[in-house]
Amino acid sequence: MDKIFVIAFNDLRIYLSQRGNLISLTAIPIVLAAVFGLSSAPRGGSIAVDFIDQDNTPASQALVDALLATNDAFVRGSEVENIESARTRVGEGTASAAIVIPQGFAQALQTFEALPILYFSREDSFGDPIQHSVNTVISQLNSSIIAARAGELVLNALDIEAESGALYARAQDLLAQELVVYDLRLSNSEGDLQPGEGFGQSVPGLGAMFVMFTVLGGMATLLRDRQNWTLQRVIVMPVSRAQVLGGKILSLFILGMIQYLILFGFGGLMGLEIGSRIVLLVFVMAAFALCITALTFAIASSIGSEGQAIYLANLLSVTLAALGGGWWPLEVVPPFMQTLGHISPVAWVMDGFNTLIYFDGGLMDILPYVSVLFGSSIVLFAIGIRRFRIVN
Amino acid sequence: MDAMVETKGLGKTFVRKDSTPIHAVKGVSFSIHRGEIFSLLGPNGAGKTTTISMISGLIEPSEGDAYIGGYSIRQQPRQAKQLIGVVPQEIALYPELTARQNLWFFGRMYSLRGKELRMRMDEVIEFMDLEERQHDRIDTFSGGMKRRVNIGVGLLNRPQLVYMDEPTAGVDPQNRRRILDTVFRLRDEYQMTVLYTTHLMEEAEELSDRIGIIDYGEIIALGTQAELTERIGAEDRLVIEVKRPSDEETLLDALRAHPQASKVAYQVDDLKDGDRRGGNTVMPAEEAVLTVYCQNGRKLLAEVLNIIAQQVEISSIEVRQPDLEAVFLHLTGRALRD
Ligand SMILES: Nc1ncnc2c1ncn2[C@@H]1O[C@H](COP(=O)(O)OP(=O)(O)OP(=O)(O)O)[C@@H](O)[C@H]1O
Ligand SMILES: [Mg+2]
Repeated sequence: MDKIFVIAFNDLRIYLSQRGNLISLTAIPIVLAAVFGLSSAPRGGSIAVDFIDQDNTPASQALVDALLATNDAFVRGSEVENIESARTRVGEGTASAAIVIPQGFAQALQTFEALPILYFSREDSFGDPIQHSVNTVISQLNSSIIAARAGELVLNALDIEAESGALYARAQDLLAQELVVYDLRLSNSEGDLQPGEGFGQSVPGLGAMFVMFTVLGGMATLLRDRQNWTLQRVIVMPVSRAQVLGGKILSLFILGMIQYLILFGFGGLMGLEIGSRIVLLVFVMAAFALCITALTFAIASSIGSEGQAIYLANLLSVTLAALGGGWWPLEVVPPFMQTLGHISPVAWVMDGFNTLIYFDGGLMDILPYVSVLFGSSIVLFAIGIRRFRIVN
Repeated sequence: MDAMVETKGLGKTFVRKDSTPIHAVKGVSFSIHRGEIFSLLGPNGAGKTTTISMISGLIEPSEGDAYIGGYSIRQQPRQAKQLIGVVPQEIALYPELTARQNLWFFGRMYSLRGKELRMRMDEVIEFMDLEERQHDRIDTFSGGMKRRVNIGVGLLNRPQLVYMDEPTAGVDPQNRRRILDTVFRLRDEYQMTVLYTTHLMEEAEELSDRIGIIDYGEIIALGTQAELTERIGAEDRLVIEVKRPSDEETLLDALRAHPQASKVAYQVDDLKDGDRRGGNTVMPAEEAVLTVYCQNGRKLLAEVLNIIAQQVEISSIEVRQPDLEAVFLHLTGRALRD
């Protein structure tokens, strides 16, 4: 047992003696978490959008339905009287966004007039799922309007059979006057953003990615240990294979936990509420760190060179994080991507963290997610430990 | 005599990726006595590292077993390993750590701790002459210094058996000298048994009490240097460089007629023009080399020179006593150094 700790201690000492490692353990994740955390707004499982339908025609209702259909997470907010109260609700965070469809919307569609649709949100456009949806729907609408217009122009042209030059000019003119969306985004400072809430996504999400960078990067360390013959030297001493592997596993697991704790510590400083849920948060972190350690061992035995190891570690960290909702909440992606995303352990750990951070969940609520992570750790360890070679 | 190491039919077969087998070591049996320096001498790829890797428990033998101080490396690896100190062919150290930190870690792997560990570390640092640089990182050390730390780690547990796998590879002459002296001190001052591998005949000759010559995974000869040379009936060689005689046969006949000369070889290295330009003209060599094989070279030298001097001019003379090179050549028909 004692030797396991000494091996883990020695590996950590080697890791921490390299300045590059210290920077990638602390400075880089903190800077990125800060950037992401400050630029994303609070969210829960669902996103409330206020619609103010001043037109109240079948056409305007169709637009609302189309918007709601783009994202499962959108829910219709309460009916708001006027633009001022919508603005207030968004500013207070009661609603995530408000969309105002002005009177005359249906009419404008018929006559091809430009018409402002008002849109309020507290978020920056980066990572704002509502605005993405609005843009998608509006551009679809615009395309069909342009097509209709062009068609009408052609018909007119055939009837009148003259002034083709003027006709062309008018077509150009009309194309330039698309239906206009006025993006009246409110700045963060105007709204009363609760500090720290934005870190509820960025800290666990980027945490997952950096834990993967750090722990999967351990593949390269394992290879170097064998290339240097230090691994072989240890095994010809009175040390068992199990002790060597135990030490290596422990050091990678601890590194993963250090990485998470650095990020959550930073999140805590930035106002992310950690307090009472700290034990459960650490439990979720441990499940993920263990799972990634197991993954590291499972693939390390198939890697030929240190260069390959580093490349693969980075590739896996980035794709698994993106796929599993480490970069943006999974609720904003289409349902099939949400399902697909759950092949990534990041999706499970994010489910666990979200349950704790946004829904005030308890141990029983996170148990399903944590079990998946622990379960896959067992499978991956079984593969990795059996295949791990001390001598090539 | 008490055996420190005993191998019984120890063999290793590696399987290549295309599943063809490589018989790296073919069932070798030999023993190493307590307190002796035993060298495994063989060309690159002979199976030296594979043999000691099995003896030290790094790789599992395909057949046979090795006993260290009576403990089977397969059945009682812990007890066996406790007796061994290992100096691998590679510099098996953590380059990011200092010499002391490396010693500390490996000492802990031998279950040393506290005051005792500190004492052993100081002892090794002094023995390997590392005091000044003990707090510096290994990656700032010269090749020779790294080798010394590499050896030092192998001595931490005061082993009864030290194995050293080509410890002088890539080391300058001064450091090589120091390392060889260290090997003697381990035997003479600490009564350790040393298993030393090398492909350098001179090292094996200088160091070894006994030598095992290994080739293609087999021990083809084993004994003291005297025993080995005697066993093949190796003779002295008189190597005489002469101006090329006009009548070669007369000279050779005269030498062969001498009752104590068992064999006479004659060699001229004509310089073919083709060596330079691809043409066919032959430039006859001006010099020739005569090699006379006989039992007691020094005694015979005067007579042989007398015969030769009557016919041609002599440029140089050398008496070569039988060496391991000759043994290897005799046994395998190949030179050791290619
Ligand atoms: N892991 C391995 N897999 C396959 N073949 C191997 C392996 N290790 C060694 N061999 C082969 O076994 C033979 C003996 O190798 P070994 O390293 O024991 O030789 P050596 O005498 O130590 O040579 P050197 O002087 O070059 O160190 C060689 O042909 C080598 O290619
Ligand atoms: Mg070797």
